[in-house]
Amino acid sequence: MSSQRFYTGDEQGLVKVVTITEPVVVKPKRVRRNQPAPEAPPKPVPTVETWGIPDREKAVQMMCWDFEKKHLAVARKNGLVQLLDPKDGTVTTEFKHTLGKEGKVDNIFVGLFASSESIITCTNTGRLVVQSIADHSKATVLEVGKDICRMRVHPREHHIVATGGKEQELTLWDLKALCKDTEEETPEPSTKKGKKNSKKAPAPAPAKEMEKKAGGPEARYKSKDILANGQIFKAKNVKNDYLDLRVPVWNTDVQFLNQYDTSRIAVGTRNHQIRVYDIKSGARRPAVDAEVGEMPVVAMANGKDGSEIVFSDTVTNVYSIDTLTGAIIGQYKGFTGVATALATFIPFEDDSTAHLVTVAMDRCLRVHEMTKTRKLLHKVYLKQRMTAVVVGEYAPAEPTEDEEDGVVSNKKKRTEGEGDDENDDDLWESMGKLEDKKNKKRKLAKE
Amino acid sequence: MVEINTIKNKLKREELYQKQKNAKAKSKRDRRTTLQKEESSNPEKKEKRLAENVPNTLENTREFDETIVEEDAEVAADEATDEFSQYFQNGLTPKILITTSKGPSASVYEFATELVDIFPNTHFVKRKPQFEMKHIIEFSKNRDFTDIMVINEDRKEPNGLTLIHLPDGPTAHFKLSSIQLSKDIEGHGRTSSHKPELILNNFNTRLGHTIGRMFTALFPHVPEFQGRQVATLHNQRDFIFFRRHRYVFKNAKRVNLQELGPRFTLKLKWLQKGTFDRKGEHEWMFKPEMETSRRRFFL
Repeated sequence: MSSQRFYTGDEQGLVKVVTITEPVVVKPKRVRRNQPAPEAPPKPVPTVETWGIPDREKAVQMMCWDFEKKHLAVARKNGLVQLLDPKDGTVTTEFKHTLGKEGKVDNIFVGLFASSESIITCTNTGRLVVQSIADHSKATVLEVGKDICRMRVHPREHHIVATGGKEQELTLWDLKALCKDTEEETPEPSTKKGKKNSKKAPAPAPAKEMEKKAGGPEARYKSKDILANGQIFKAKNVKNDYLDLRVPVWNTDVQFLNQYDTSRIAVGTRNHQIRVYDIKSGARRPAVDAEVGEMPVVAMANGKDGSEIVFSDTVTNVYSIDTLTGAIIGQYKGFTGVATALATFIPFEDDSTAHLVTVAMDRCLRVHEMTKTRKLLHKVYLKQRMTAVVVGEYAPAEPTEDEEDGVVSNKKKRTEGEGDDENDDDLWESMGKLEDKKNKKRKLAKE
Repeated sequence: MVEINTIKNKLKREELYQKQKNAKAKSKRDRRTTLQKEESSNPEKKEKRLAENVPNTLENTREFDETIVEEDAEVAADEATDEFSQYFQNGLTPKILITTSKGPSASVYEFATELVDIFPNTHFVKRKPQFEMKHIIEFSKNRDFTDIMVINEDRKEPNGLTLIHLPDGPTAHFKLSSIQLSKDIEGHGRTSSHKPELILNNFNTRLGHTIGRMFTALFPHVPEFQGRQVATLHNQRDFIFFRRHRYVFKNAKRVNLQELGPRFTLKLKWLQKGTFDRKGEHEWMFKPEMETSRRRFFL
């Protein structure tokens, strides 16, 4: 029986490991006319393992895999950022960030990324912290604006960060440039440039950084809209609407569509728009601007290889939209509460169907298949209002006859769809690691 | 025996049909009288028969719902620290604000008067057109209200009730129907200012628990038993029936009930996390596509 693991985080601070097993497909034997049909094997029940004690102060706000998929990074309400061991949930590393309050509203984490050397977090006040894992005291604090709703780090280029928020257009930052500026900076008060509050570095540094950045887009920017230091790209608002009024900006979620470079980025807004920006073309306005639904976008996930985006809104709708045209492909049904987190995954490495796993405020985890039918495959009741989901390991079934050659066992899956070159690279990379695992040995197809 | 439906002559057909009907009724009567005689002498037989012949109702054959709460430590921990903990743990007395949608009609004011009578410590405020819901919520929070009830109307009749728990509690919107004011109930009793007892029936699922707790948080903690008033919120098939009675014990076995106050029925339409916000996140929302089976209920 093949099994798939998911890790979920909820508002009581519990991390639950849900294992869904697919039953073995039994070929129905031909039954004689008057004899009773053989009973189908009982449907396997998903198992749920809970880590942690309920505590609202430790509510999970963001959760993701670290880059090598060795640890689970969790960002909590009280400012704790932890790296958990995926096998049993023990905390391997822990950092405490300060999450203050603005008036009566708590600050929340809006972005989390972990690589082997550092953890990058961002709060809604724009406080981006690059924390070194090895050295607990070394942490670089950067400012990326205020009222940020989402921060995402590019999966390949770990120094490129995208942010978007309330009256904050999509901005791409280069962390290397930003870090360098803050190191060389003399303590001066930050100057306001347009809507941004970025720190201005002293004279020698910017000249060097300007050379490093891509030349094209900057040249076209108007003089009053110069990119502040560290920014690679800053989007421009769409044209005024039919009444010649400025269209308000409130970006609620950001996703990189391309795994290799930063060419296409999708943004979801509070005014139920989905916009796709093409960075390479140099245009600052979105290439695709589609109005979908009637309610703000809550969460977004990449579909198959960047051509599809799945997003949820505040009234329990989950839509799948084509990023090239902006047209709705379909809707995923079966939700009774807001889907707070979505992730797509492919159980097998080769072209098997993509699946969508979602976690919602109605306390359930759902798995849909991303085919034309968009069928609900599994639903697991998890008792808590969930806030995050991460796709874990897939263990394929024992083959009855040797039909499955070329499939690597216990490979941890990426949360977004991948191209074939990627598969090969990872195949070679992971070959060495497989010896450590004491799981079933498999013949690897050597190309 | 000829099949009745093959006889073409209407008079003859009717005659035969009546005969058949009477014969059927007679055999049923005879069976029941013999059964009654047997069971009057042998009560065990009656019990056995009753135990075996349990009829299937929609409630018995309810579709399995995994969210039904049964002695769960995790759920208990969740409820201990949820938005109602101020009421349950700290014993905060409820203070309710009742208002209406903009430009209400007379029947809404009448219903509002009844509501003010039901819940102790309630204030009715006329809705002014210049204030939106978020302002009203802010003002109520400043004046230490614990709940807001907004009566919605359509076509001059109240048809919706929005219950907002403050300071940042959930918002529930109900469809209001079958309202009967106390003056329209025959033989209704007069209410007194005693705090009523509360009965909540059948709020089984996790969602039902949340709604049940929301209703509990509207009433004061300690009822005044001397008043002998009881308010019931009975959930059946996702409809919540509200009734108010005064009870009196005739003797050890018999209780008489006199109905007080209004009757109305509520049906949950949506539950939103946080106070009312048109663009807020909905924890539960009713959609017609959820009605997959007649035996499926959510509360």
